[in-house]
Parts: sequence; structure tokens; C-alpha cells
Amino acid sequence: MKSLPRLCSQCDHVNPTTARYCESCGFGLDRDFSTGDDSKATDDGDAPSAKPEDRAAKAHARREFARIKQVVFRLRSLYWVIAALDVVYLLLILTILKRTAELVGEEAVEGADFAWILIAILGGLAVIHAIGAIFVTRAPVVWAIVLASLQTLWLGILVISGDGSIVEYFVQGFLTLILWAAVGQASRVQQLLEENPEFELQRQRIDRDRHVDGGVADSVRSRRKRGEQRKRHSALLVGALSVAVLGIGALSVWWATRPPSADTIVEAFTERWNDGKPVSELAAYFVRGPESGPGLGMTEAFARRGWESSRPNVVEVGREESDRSVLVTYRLGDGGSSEADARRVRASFSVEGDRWILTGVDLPDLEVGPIEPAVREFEAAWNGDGPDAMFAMMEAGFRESKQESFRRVMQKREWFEKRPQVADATVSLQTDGRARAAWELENDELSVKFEWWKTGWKVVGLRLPSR
Amino acid sequence: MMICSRCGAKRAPTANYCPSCGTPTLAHKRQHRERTNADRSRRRTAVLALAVTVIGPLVVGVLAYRGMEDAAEWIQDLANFSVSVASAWFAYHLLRRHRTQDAMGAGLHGRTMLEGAWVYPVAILTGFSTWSIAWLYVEFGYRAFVTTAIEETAALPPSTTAWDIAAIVVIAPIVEEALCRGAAWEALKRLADGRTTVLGTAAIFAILHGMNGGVSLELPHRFVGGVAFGCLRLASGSVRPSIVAHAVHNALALVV
Repeated sequence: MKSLPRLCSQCDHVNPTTARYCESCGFGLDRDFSTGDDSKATDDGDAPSAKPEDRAAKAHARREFARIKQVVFRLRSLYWVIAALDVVYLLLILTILKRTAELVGEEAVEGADFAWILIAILGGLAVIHAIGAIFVTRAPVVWAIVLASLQTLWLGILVISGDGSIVEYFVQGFLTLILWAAVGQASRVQQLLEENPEFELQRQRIDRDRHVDGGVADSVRSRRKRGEQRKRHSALLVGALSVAVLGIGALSVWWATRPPSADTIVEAFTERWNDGKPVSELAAYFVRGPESGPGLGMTEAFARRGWESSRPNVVEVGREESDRSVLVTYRLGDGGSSEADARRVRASFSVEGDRWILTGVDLPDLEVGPIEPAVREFEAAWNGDGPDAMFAMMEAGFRESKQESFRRVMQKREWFEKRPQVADATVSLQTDGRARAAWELENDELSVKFEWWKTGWKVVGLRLPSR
Repeated sequence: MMICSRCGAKRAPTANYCPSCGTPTLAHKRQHRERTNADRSRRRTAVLALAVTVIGPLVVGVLAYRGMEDAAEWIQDLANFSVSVASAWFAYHLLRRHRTQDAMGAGLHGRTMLEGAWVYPVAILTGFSTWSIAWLYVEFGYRAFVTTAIEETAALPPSTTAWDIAAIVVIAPIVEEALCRGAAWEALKRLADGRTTVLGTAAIFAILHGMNGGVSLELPHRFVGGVAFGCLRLASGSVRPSIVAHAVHNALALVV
């Protein structure tokens, strides 16, 4: 029985009976039983009546397309990876911002505006990369150009910032070159797609309908089995990756939203105290910052002790914690653990919303000198000529704010140069470095408030007898 | 009959491949190589020209930040324009488009959708439209995010000099259009169809503007502008109408 000539499924060329490869296009004729190729010539509108050279060219195009279409899938994967990285960076920045806000208060976060701009830019890039991943198979050239241009831009930013190492420049430069080369490949893919409408950008799949029992079909069956195994493995891998990504996402969300611990703020407060940071940086832990009432009070208390920029170190000796607040007791100074409670500092913190804030600081009592010399000095200044000696005893802030009104009142009473004599003050010492002295004068009394400021008593209040 | 050089099997003189082992014939290999090489070379040149149009202005960015940060603004502008023009010129020559007339499009004489006296009114209208879209985006979208840093970099100098007007309204449109709708357009035209060329050049146009500091925030309205100018280029067959539209856009941005 005479065998029939073998017809090539790719280009319809009539080959000799013994041929194993098509003479026209080189296609393996034994593979006609396989199920792995993209499409058959008879399926795709390539009419059998077409010229043999056209059919051969089409077969070439089909094989070239099967080979180079991978570049589009790689671009798509790259887009997804970069989009995922953008999201991870976004989460990291948000977490860092949140942590920083917890530590120093939202008002004191320097560069917060810039961080939000960075978030907007990263968010925009994540959206662009996600759109690119979806549409790169529809318009490979445009999205290859977008990726290559963005990579070039990124390389430029890296060079401008000067932060990268030589290795990093090399890697990024190499990646840029690869992406521009991918533009060429993508353009060829798109050209083939336009010239051959039957071509589709799909991953190669096994077509069950083309399975033939017996003969070559055994190898086809085993190949299909392997393909199904690979498919199962891929599905498992995708499932595992999805679970991992979801897990990482859930972990990130938990990390960003979990109830904060008091340890962070206590450690930061202690560190700032011992590093001699300005008092405003300590007062920044109050909910409304250093300019709030408690913040200003703390600043004044530190100023009266001369602790604005340098102060004795503190060592934590005790902590009372509850769910919403914590009271930390510090020992002041390096030595003397047996000193009395007067040398202790207590700082209280509480939860405000989702962050810890400072609610108060108890400092040890001021170590003050005797008040009597200061009272005598003021008495002499009052009984003397002119107001300058009295002004010299006033605390700087008080003098600055009250000096003018005090001058006017004294001139009105004609006491500016010479005042009625006073003697025998009544002194009452109050807590926290404050004292009050009073003299009988014109059936009333002259009352003066003193405060201890750093090294001496200063006048911080003065009440003249009423008329 | 011919003999296969690899397996020694007989084959027909007209065969391209050995029917026994599938080895291509020498003549077929040569013919295929020549065809493939010509195509690859054309494609490689086009990609190189396209990369030059992006990398060139980037060099200016690096220079401006690393070498000329203390130089006067007009010197930086001049450097920017010079390198951009040099990039466009280099790209044109890579594409073997030596004549400026070729590079800037076939003029208004070809058979195109948009011809004659209607070209420039449409260009002016396009410039006005793209400016309106950009204004809406900046006013209602962009400012929601941007408070200080980007506005400072993007804002015009407080007192607009004659140089600023010349640079923004005249030189920038010519240089940018020569780069995007000229060199990049010619390169992309060799790689893909008209629609892809419009979208691709618009993407490059947007990304190059993103280097001003806005990065991804500037991309949407710049991309829309790029698409509009590209459509004008496609419809008219020349880069000149898109220069006019770009100039109108910039002039409105400067005035308003």
C-alpha cells in the first residue's frame, strides 16, 4: 500500500512520505500529534490557498512569536513585582510616620509634609505599575517604554542623590539597558500581533481536543500529565504566595495599628533627658507640645533649676503601670541611691487615642538658700534712692513685662526717686522655692513675692499699698 | 537532488530544510539572516534613538543638581535646552533623518486629516483645552497632596522676566515638541502603529515633565497634554501645530 505524502500543519507544504521535518518551514512533522503549539494553520484563517512562501513566512512568524512573546509576560511580572514593592514601601512609610508621631507628637514631626508628598508619589507609582501590569499585554510597546523611562528616571534620581554605591549604579544601569532592549522586543511582539490577528498573547496551554490515542499519543499523554503536574504545582505556588502576601499584609496592618507600648516613649524620654536635649524636646511629649500650659510650666521649672540644656542624669528605679497610664520614678543623679524621695523625679504618661503622651513631670524640690538676705537687700533698695536697685532684683521676664507700668505707678505716687521708709518685714516661706515678704506701709502693706531662679532669689511680684 | 551537509540525506533543490534532520539549507539561512538582521538593526536604531530622547534631558537634570546648582536660572535653562536639542539632533541622525524638514514632519502638504487653514485654530483650541484640564487637575487634585515642597519647585519666579517668557512660551514648546513629537515620534513610528506612537510619546512627555519634581503627581495631566499634542501631530502630519498648541498652553499657564 502506497503511503500518503505528509502535509505540514504549519504551512500546508506537501512533503515526501519519509520526511520528518517540513522542507518548507522546518516544522517537526511528528509534532503534528502534539498539543503544545500555539495554533494550526487551518484554524487561524491562513487559507490553504495561500502561496507556499507566505505560509512558510507565517510559520516562521508563529515560531518567533512563541519565542519572543515571553518578554511581555516578563514585563507583566516585573510590573506586578514593582507595584507590590511600592505598596510595601508605602506601608513602611506609614508605619514609620505613625511611630514617629507617637514618640514626639504629631506637631513636632519634622518633614511630615514631605513624607505625605512621598506617600502620594509612591501611591501614584503603585497605581501606574498596577495599570501597566494589567495593560502590558494589550499595548506592549507603550508599557515597555513607560517602564524603561521610569527606570531611567529612577537611575537619574539615584545619581543626583549620590546615595548609591558603585554596585548599585551598575545594577540599575544594567537594568535600564535591559528594559530599553525589551522595548525593541515588545515592538516586535506588537508588530507580529498586528500582522497576524490570529496570534494571541496567552501563556502556552495544552489543548485537550487535539489529543490522539495510540502511537505518538503516549508521549503526548505523558507530556500532558507533566503539564498538569506543573499546573498543579503552579497553583500550589500561587496559593502559597498569595497566603504569604496576605500574611505579610495582615502583619503590616497589625503592626501599624497595634496598641502602642509605653516602653518606647519612656525610653525616648529618658534618653532625651540624659542626652541633655533642650527642654522643649522633652515638653514635646505633652499632647499639645511645648507651647501648651503644661509644656510652658515644665520649661519654667527647668529654667528655675538651670536645667534647660544640661541636667543631672536620671535612672529609672520604679514603674507603676496600668492599661491606660504609667508612672515612672527616676533617681536623680549618678549616686546616692539611698537619698530621700526629695531627689526623685516622677514622670507620668497616659494613652491618648492610639499613642502615649506625657501628662506630668514632678521634679524634686528646689535647693534654695536663706531668704533673709534677699529680703534685707530689697528693703535697702526700697529705702534707697531711685528704682534701679529694685529693678536689678527682679526676675528677667517679670522685669521685662512689668517695668514700664511699675515706673508709671511710682511716678504717679511721687515714689520714683524717694519712697516712704519700711522696716521689719514679715517673711513666709512657701514650697517649691517661693516666698513672700510684707512690710507695713501707710495703713496697708507692701507685699513682695520671691522665687528662687538658678542661683538666687528674684522678685516676681510686687503689690503696693492701696490708696 | 541535493545532499544535506549534516546528515547526508537527499533533499529537493527547492527545499529550505532537510526533510530528515530539519537542518536549514545554507541559502535559506543566509536569506533569513539578512532579513532578520535588517529588521533587528532598524529596530535597535529606533530603540536607541528613543532612549536618547529620554536619557538626554536626564543628563541635564543630573548636571543641574550636581554641577550647576549655584548657576543662574537662565544658565540652567540654557543648558537644559541645549542638551535637549542635542539629544533630538542625535536621535534624528541615528534615524537618518538629516533634514530638519524630515525631522519635523512632512509639513502641511501631505495627505492628512487636518490640513490648510483649519490647522492652527484647532491647535490653539487644543492648547486651551489641555491647559484647562491641567488647571482643573492642579486646582482640585494636585493641591490636595502638595502643600509646600513641590509648589516651591514648580512655581514660577515671583517676577517674570523677558527670559522667562521667551523660555516658557517660545523655546520650551519648540524644544520639547522637537524631542517628543519629533525625535521620539520618528523612532516610535518605526516600532509601532500610529496609536501606539501617540501614547508612547505622551508617556515619555509625561515622564520627562515628572523630572521637574512632581514625579508621579505630574504624570496624569502631562500625559493628557501629550496625547492631545500627539493627536494633533498625527492628524496634521507635522510637528508645527503641536508646537503652537504647546505654546498656547504654556502662555496660559504663565498668565493665569
